[in-house]
Amino acid sequence: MDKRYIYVLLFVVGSIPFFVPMVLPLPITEMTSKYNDFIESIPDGSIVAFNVQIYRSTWPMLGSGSAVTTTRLFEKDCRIVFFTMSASGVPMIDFNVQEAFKINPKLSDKVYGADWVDLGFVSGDESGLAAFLTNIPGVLPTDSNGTPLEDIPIMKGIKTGGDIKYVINAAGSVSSPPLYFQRQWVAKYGVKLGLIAVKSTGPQVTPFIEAGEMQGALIGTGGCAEYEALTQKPGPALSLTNAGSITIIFLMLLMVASNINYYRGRK
Amino acid sequence: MMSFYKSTLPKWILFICGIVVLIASIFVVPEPLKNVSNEIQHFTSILTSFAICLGAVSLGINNVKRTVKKQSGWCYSIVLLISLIATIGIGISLGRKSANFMWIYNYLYMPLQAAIYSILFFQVGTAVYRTFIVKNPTATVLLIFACLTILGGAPAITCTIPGLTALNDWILAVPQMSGSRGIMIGLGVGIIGISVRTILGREKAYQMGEE
Repeated sequence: MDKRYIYVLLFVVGSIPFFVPMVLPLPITEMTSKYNDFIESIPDGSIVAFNVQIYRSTWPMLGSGSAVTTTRLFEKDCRIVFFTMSASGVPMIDFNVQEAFKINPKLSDKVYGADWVDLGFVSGDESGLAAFLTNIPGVLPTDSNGTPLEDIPIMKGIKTGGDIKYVINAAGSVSSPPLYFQRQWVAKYGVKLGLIAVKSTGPQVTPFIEAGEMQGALIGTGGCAEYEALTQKPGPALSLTNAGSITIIFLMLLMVASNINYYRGRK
Repeated sequence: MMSFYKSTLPKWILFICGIVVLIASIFVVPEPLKNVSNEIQHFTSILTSFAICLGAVSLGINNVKRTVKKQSGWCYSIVLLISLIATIGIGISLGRKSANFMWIYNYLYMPLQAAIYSILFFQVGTAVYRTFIVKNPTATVLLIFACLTILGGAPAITCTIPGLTALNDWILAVPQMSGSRGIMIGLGVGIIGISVRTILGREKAYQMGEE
């Protein structure tokens, strides 16, 4: 089959849920369930570190999970220390917070510096994270606005990675951020880590979740949609999941067609 | 003398940095040694920032050369150079949070990135058509597991077929996890081997291009 036909068919099939709203059932997977339990187990008022490493390209896939998590943490009066391990993720921190305020407008009275802070970009990937965790004010003496950390109330008493007990890593990348967060933060400082990750990271992190090294994960749009359903904050992930379901059915049909085509060609 | 600067000195720097960080990570060491180890790690962040600058300079130089020599695709190089200079210029002169810089990020960078990523959707479709073909028993096993995993990602299907979620969870928790753990342990052992070779100066990949 000419690939152009496949492209057109994919476009048509993938567009259906956007024009014809559907309510499809949504079972909750174990990973999402564990993630929700982890978020709910964080004591009210705790300080949580949050790596927003979601790019604009992966925001439709994972952004909702990140924004709903931020909303839920703010609702629990948790104070959030945002940072990013990606240079292009810097503007996404503010975007993420604004999305959380849209989900629950009552939260827009949260005060920068007291309830949340944006530390900006931590460069150097795994080595950079290791350095950051050994001396947070040493690596980032100011927040992303240039305010010294000692002048920011939420940062009082936070010197190393061990001073924060809960970490969320939202990484829209298939490389290894979840694993190096586990190595550098969980293994060294014994913190509790929750993940928001792309679908292909799922198999990579399953062993760590089963072993209790990571507390839970929202994997792909499906995981984010499940979390939206669990927290009763319906958003874009639920409608995207419907589109995903229909596309997957179409991909299965494509696969059957390719096999039929292959065996017909052999005869 | 050149050989000392290009080969011997980097090897010694690497050896000393590697040993100091390794010892400080594994053992309880005196405070001064711990501070040296921390400083070495901090230096990574500084080096990475310089690497980003170096990357931008290298990208610029290569594209200027391409444009001057009018090699194929030189017009794209001009677009790249204009974008690079404009973004860096606006970012440095007006600030990263200025309206102009954010306009570039929100209305140029974001849509372009999203557009490029969305092309994957179509690539996956054609990849499924071309590669998921039952040609032999191994391919059949791969195909069955792939289908079950893919179907497990479609809530509409998992709700329709009873037991599919449980089967999918089992695939992730048993066969997949065994394979993943094997790969991770292998990777870990490999990384230890490479690290030891690098610290001892036997690994020369970082000296690429040098004898």
